[in-house]
Amino acid sequence: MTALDRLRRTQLALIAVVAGTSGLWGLAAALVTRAAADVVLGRFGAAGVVSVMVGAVVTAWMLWRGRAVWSIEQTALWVESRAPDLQYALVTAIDPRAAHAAQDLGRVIAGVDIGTLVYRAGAPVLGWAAIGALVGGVLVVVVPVARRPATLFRDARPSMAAADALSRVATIVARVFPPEYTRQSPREIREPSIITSIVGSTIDIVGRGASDGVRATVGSDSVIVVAEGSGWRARFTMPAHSRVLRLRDRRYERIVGLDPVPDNPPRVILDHPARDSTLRSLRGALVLGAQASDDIGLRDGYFELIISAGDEEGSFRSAERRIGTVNFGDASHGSMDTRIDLATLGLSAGGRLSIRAVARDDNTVSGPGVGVSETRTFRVAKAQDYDSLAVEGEPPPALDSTYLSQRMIVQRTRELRRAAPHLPRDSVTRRAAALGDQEEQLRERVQSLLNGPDEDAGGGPLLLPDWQRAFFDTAFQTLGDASGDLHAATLTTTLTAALAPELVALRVLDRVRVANRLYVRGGRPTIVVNTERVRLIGPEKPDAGPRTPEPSDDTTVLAAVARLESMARLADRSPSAAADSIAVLRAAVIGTWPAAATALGEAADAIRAHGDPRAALSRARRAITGPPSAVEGLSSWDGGGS
Amino acid sequence: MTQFVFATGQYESGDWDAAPLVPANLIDSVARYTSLDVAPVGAVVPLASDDVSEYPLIYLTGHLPFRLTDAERASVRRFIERGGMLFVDDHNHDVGGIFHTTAIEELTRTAGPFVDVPTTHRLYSCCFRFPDGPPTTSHELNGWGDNLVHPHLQAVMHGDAIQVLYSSKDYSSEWGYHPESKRFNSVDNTKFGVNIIVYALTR
Repeated sequence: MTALDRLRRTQLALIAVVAGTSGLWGLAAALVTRAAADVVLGRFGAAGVVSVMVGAVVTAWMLWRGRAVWSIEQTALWVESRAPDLQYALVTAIDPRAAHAAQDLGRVIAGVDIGTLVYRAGAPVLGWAAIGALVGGVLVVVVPVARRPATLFRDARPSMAAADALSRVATIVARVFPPEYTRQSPREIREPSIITSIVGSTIDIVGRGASDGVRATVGSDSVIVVAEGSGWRARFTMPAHSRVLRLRDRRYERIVGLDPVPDNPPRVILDHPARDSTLRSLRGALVLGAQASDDIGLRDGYFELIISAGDEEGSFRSAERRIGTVNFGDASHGSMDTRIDLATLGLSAGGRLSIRAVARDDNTVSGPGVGVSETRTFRVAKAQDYDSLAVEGEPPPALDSTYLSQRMIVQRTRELRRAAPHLPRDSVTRRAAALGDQEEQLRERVQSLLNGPDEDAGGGPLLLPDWQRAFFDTAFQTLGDASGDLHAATLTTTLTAALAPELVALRVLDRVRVANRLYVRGGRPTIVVNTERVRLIGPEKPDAGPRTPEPSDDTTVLAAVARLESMARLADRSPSAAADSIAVLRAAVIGTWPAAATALGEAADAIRAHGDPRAALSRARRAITGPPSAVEGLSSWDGGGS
Repeated sequence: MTQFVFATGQYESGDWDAAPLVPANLIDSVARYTSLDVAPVGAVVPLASDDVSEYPLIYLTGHLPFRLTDAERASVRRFIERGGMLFVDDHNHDVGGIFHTTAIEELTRTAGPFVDVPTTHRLYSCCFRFPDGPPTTSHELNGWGDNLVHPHLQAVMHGDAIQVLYSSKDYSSEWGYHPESKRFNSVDNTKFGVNIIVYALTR
């Protein structure tokens, strides 16, 4: 081994000493800082971050201080300073210009035990650094314990740290075994505040110490606690609804929230056929298609047909069939399709074919969960289904009918006048009298329009405008004249005389009829402005007395917020009690406000880790009350002017 | 001092009653913003009747052709000469529309030529101040009718006094809502109507 080789080995050893010393002093500094920060800043300070930063700085500074070991010349000088007998032989030996004297120098260097030099120098340094780190570690452990008695006295319930030494429920581990059909792996949760798992999971809570005296309840149900190894174990099944697990040991209690995850039934969508229909006859092939999905896994699926036949009471019959069964093999998604020959169903008029898709999941604990799609129905129409719709026409208005009646009488009078010379006298008289009777009936109808329905029938005079009343009066009069002339008619000349009042009556009735057909726009609304009220000088005076605001209807939100606020106050005084209360509240709100439950779980975890729960509690409150909304002030009322 | 009654003019041609809610709305605004003794209900006065002289301001509007009969024309002339003021609003908001063309022709023949009312006129400052002239209407801003924003009102003037005020801005639509609905508006758009009434009473 040459002098240079020995020197390089020495350099590596010194580097290790410097690195080890730096790391240990850095660790010591970090631990001492953490202990100090725990005293000064308390649980809510950023003690961890500060201590790591201090440790890093000290380590870096120590490394910088020992940077000389990276130089081979400096290493040689370090050895020369501790072995004066070398008389700079080592420094000379690494100089290339002294290669010719290497053998002589090598003999001198071989006479010195450099390894012992390094050991004597490095061991104390490393030892002191290790002692420093040990002291720091002791401080970190001792200081928080020393601080807690004061808190213990304030707490009505035992603090977690104090319970560590006394309570058998202070340190627990939860082992969660999901049901086999979920194919999920078992998992372990240390110091759980919330246990989230699928419904039906087997959960073991294990703790230290004897099982005697340890009690556990899930909701109101007791859980058997048995001995297991050197500790105890409570086994139960994840309930279907949120519950609280209470673990008690003498006066100590621990609460764990149970957050069940339900296994939802499959979701099934029937793609084909897309809609219901009514057909004259069921013929041809019908394509069926559906998709199914499940949160864990699908077992199988099929199409279900319900065939109903018969079209009257007493003749109905129905049958159910399953077709197109598909095994999904635990897949989370799947599709199924098939087709049916409609003619084979034997449906006649009035029959119905109902189709739906069904899928089942693999739930062997509480299932299987069954999901069904919407039902589509095909109906075979009956003959009477195609009847047309009959609409009864409304009779013409009274005015129109009187006009038409009068025009008919005028036409018949004219016909009779033309035929009169060729007819026997008796026949003319009889037919004229019949027309006169019709005129009389028409006159009575006009009278009813004029005076309104008979008062005995609950009617009364109609409120006619003056101009209409004048027309009706004229019509009534002329109809009477015409009736009289017709009853007295025996010759063509008397028929001609009767036509005159008939035509007058026809014209008058036409005027009234047309006038009433005019579209009359709605009348102008009469709006009376209450100027006194507009000027606030009306008789109604406002009540200037004190007013009590109405309480909010949403008392659930208010109650939850009140509990949150009390927990935030409790977190400062009694963290362990606050953590338990938060777990209870979390179980209560998980169904209503899932986001709040998540935040509450984080708050409980933060308290148990001696962290700051306030941010998580704020998030929980936000999730319950909703985001704050900015309300702008009242808008100005400038009206475009000023 | 007699009570102010808001009068709507009834003319033979056209649809004189096309904006039946405007009178009540303006009566409400006058009561709201001024201390004028205002009648709670408006009146309808046929232009041909002698009753027109009972009212200081007559409001005319419509969509259809505007023609005055000889009697109406004579009555309107007397009304203006005796100090009355006509406020005519084109309900079509369309300078190419039939109401505008016929009304401008008829009123020019009856009362005289129209000129633009300057934005410095007292009409715009007698109660509320409108430094930019007549306020725009939603019909103008939405591009309905003639798709124009009319910067000025027109008027037949006697010196500085307005005798016939003519608007192409369709205030009849802008103000055509029940006064009880006014509380839902963030900005009361009838304030300019108050200016017209106050101006008509204080010229």
